[in-house]
Amino acid sequence: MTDPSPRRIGLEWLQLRASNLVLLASAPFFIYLFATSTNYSRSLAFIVGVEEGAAEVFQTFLVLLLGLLSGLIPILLTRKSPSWLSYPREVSWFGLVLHLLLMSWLLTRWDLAPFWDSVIGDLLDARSNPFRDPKVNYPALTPEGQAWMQGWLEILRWPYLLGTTLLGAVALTKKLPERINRWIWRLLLIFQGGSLLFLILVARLSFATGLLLTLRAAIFAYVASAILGLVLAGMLSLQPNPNIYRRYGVIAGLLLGIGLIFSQMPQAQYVLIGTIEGRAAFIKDTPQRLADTLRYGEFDNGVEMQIRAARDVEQALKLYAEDKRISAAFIPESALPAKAPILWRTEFLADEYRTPSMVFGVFGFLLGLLTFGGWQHRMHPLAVFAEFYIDILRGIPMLVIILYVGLPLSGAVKQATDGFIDLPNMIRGVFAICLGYSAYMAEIFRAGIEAVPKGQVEAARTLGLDRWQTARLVILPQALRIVIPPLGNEFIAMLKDTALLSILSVRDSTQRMREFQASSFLPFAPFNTAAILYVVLTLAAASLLKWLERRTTPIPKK
Amino acid sequence: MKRFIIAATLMLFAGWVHAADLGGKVLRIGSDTTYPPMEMVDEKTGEIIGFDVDLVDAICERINCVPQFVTTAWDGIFAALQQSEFDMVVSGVSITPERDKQMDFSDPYLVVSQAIMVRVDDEGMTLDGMKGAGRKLASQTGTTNAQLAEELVGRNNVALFDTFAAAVQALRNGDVDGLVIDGTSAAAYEQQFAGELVVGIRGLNSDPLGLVFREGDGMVDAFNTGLAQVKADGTLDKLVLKYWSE
Repeated sequence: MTDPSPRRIGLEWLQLRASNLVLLASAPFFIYLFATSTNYSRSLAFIVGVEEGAAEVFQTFLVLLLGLLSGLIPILLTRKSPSWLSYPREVSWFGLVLHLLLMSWLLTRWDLAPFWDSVIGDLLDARSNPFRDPKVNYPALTPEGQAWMQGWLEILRWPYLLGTTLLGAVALTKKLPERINRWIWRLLLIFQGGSLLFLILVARLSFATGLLLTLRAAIFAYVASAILGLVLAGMLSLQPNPNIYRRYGVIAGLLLGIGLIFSQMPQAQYVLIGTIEGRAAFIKDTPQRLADTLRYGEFDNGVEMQIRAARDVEQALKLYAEDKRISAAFIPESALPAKAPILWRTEFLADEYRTPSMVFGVFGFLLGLLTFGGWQHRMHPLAVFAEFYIDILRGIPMLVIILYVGLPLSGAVKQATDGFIDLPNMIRGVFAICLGYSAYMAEIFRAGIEAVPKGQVEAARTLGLDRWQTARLVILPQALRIVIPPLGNEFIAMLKDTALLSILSVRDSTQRMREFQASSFLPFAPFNTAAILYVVLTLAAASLLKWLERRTTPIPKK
Repeated sequence: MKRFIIAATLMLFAGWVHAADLGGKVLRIGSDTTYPPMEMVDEKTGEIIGFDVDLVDAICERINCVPQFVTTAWDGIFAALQQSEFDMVVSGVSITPERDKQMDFSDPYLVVSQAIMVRVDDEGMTLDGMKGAGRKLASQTGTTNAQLAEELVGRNNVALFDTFAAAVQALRNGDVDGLVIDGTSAAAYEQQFAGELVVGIRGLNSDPLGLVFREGDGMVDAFNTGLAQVKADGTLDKLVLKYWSE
């Protein structure tokens, strides 16, 4: 295929937009600014997150990155690859040799201690692990930890180097049967690719903790919201069959019934004993609404009481008996001491029954409504749900979603699962961004799916493809190609919205900027630096997307 | 030299007398109103109330000015002051040497000690217990509380939030083990989250609080005069009693 248009001379090959050219031209000025002004260089170091031992970790990271990438080249190129990734076989051999050289240099001649401090130290629990150094503020290993790592390195490095190189060479020569070859290929891809992904997406790298956090949050949130958005778009395109309403109606009724049973459970009997002069001891885990009743004097005699928390009944009674400032206690009736003056008597549904009752009731009701709505409009109930989800989530500001998911919802989930589901704040925030953006993603995917001509679907069905095959082989490949530009747009928007994670105490670039600003009082430098950093990131992302767009658009036939 | 000192003293004195009357000037006062009981928004009326508000009202009565409190976020509050968005900042601000380099403080109007709030299960935990074993503390970004938290357990074990409200939520969730906060506000949060949170450790680093002005602002003298009067006639003590009955 030849390009008939005459070759233009100039900066065309750069594929730059005019505005980007202006930015590129002004880059030397920014570099000069960061190099000469201490305020700016300090801002940059703090916002990017340059920490202890950054230089060594950065060098190690670079060599490791190159080593792993070059190890992946033969793996990626030997299999069927799309036309735009075809390179001569010599490139594969070169990659393999480069991999061997770089990795053996790294694993035998390099001081890996700072790298382990940063990467491994972070993975160990500071509270319990003896290999983690508890004396320093940043993740670091104790000397025993370092010796342990060194021991494993000495055992593993030669098997690793020989293994990856030999397997890569075997896969390249293609002498073995295809089936074995494929297994070798998978093994290497999982191992090398997995290490590379860990290095890029998970490992704590002390030369850019803040910057990497921002990038990683955006990438994780993007992938997750794209998947969720695709699922929602799939739900939207579900067609109902006549039985579906009856089935969903029965499930809704069952849920409501379970909720009703929970609401009829025996109530807890509580009494307020003592006098109203002092504070009231209030036992932990008693529903908060009762504390409010006491605090605002909404019980019998209408006197507002101050409250003091107690761990359990014993402590409450002890405080009541011994502490002069505490004149009352709110306790279960079963623990009522003899001769205690009773101020108020009440009963309520304990939280262990009230919560499931509410949850089942709400879900049953919602499912009932979805089924009814679907029946009325001849839609699948799940399609109605997807619509409902999109309408709701699109209507809530991202800040509210993040605060809600990050603090109260995560707390409730943690409590409900007894501390089993306890995600770090960054993951909570990523989850929140994913929830919010999936609504937009779903709409983008829906637009893409609807842009595929109806005739294509009909043709696929005539050829005997089932619904799933039609979706996977005919609709999605075309739909995805159509939606690449808007999807890219979303990525850039997300990259900036990760700044909102700073409200969850996640130390991303924005939170670091605020911390630095708060302690240095500099009025301009931190904000300018962060702004420049974000622009550079989004520009890089935009260029990458542009490249992807060009690569995936089929060359039009002349 | 001697004459210079006399002249300077006279000028200072003249300024002092004059500055004690601000001539009914309306002052925009920046305040992070998420910090009960120092400053908070009354949920019924929507007005900004609290100890700081009452104090500035009392001072302004004496030096003839009209305070106008404006709700703002804590971070960036000093940048906004420096860029003349506010005439002063009153937000339970601790006087620190670094801040004093950039801004002018009035005389201290209250000395508060910091405290650590914990969940009721952890009541009785000592400061050493807090420091060891990788426990986590929460606080608000850019406060002296945050500095103290960092000193106690190190930056990587400190979670910093925009507001104390979010930090309290993190403590209730069990994401952190303690919350470093001024003792004055700890008492208010203890009430609000009765049955869950208690003030576990009291009397840490004492911080003097001051009213904040732009560098070289003449109003500082007037406010110091007013503050001295409020202190002398017992109004300040009455306010302290009103907000902290214990």
